[in-house]
Amino acid sequence: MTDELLIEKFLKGQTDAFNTLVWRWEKPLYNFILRYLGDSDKAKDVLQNTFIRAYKSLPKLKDRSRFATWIYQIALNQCHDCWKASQSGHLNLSELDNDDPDKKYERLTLIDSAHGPEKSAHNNDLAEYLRRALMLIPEEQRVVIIMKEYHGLKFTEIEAILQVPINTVKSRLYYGLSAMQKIFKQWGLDREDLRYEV
Amino acid sequence: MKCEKYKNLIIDELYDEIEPADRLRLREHLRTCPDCTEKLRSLRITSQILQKWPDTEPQINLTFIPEKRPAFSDWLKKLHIRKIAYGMATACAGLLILLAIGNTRFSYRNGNFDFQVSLFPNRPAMQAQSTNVLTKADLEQFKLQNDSTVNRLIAENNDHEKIRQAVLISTLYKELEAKRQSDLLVVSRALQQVHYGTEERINQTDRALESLIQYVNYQTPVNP
Repeated sequence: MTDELLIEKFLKGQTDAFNTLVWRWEKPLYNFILRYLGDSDKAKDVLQNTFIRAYKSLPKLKDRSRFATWIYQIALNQCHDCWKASQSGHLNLSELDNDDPDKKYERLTLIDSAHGPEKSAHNNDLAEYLRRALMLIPEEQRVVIIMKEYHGLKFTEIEAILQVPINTVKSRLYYGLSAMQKIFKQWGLDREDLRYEV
Repeated sequence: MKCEKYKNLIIDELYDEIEPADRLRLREHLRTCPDCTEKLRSLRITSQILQKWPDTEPQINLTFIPEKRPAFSDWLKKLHIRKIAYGMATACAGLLILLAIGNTRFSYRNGNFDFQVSLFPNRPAMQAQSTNVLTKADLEQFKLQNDSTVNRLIAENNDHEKIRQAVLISTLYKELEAKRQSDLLVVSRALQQVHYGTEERINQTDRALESLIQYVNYQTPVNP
């Protein structure tokens, strides 16, 4: 059953149809939020808030075929609010010079470089390092990387969710991946043996 | 700077969302640019590394249960409160504008232009305000108006008195006329009676005289 049909049933009063939508979308959205925030507890809270918001606002959604874009937008806004709240008192990434990404990542990687895999030989959890690396790049680049790498969204879909020009999406992806590449290199994650591990 | 314009194409190529013409253009460039070639290769490796983070289950049970709404809230929901509120607000605004237009006053007095906007008629206040700006000319004008009004009232009173007297005279005249008519009728009747009585008496006298003459004629012998 398509999302549109489930929405139609939900709007007719069948709450179970919404539960089916939740069941269908909870995993991709949870992983999106988890990679955005890097914290599983916060991700669960944000996921719950996302679905509550969707439950309340679904009757206002005019174009039901846009449900995927719409639910990603809700999750994105929730993540952004949560991220902003958690960043108060921490390093403010947006204050760094956006025009000089190389410099920025040098500074950022210095903060966390001591916790690379080579320093903690017993910790072989690559996912944990990827989580940590994603937390080091700016929010706007991270979200594009997550959407493209983990959700396989097309550039036009990302453009619709973020509501920014497609070239901006590509540019953010380029700089985001470049930053990740530098972090991986610094942490030794780009070694051949590690690439084929896990 | 030359490579700057190929950044987006490198990204397109990386995710296989590149147009055929752009792919040819990029490949042409990569053939002569080792930096961009290396960049594409390293970004591909980065992408591969990122893919090592597998999806995880949320470990959360989210189930929505239908909310039992009280009947009153259903009724309120059907009312479209927002639409009603907008309608009422628009109507109130319209009413206020109409009141303001209806109670706007322009006046020109003694060379001064006066403009007053009010939502409600406020005549006593306007009078009080106008008293504050009274001039000698206004007082003279008021005195003249007052005199004229008093004279008019006196004249009207005199006229009223005359009319009242005329009505009284007319009434008296009518009463007297009626009385006179009545008297004339009485006199006329009396005269008629006198007339009939006199005529009757003459007739009686004539008849008596005729009888007497006849009697005398019988008593007296006729001389030969």
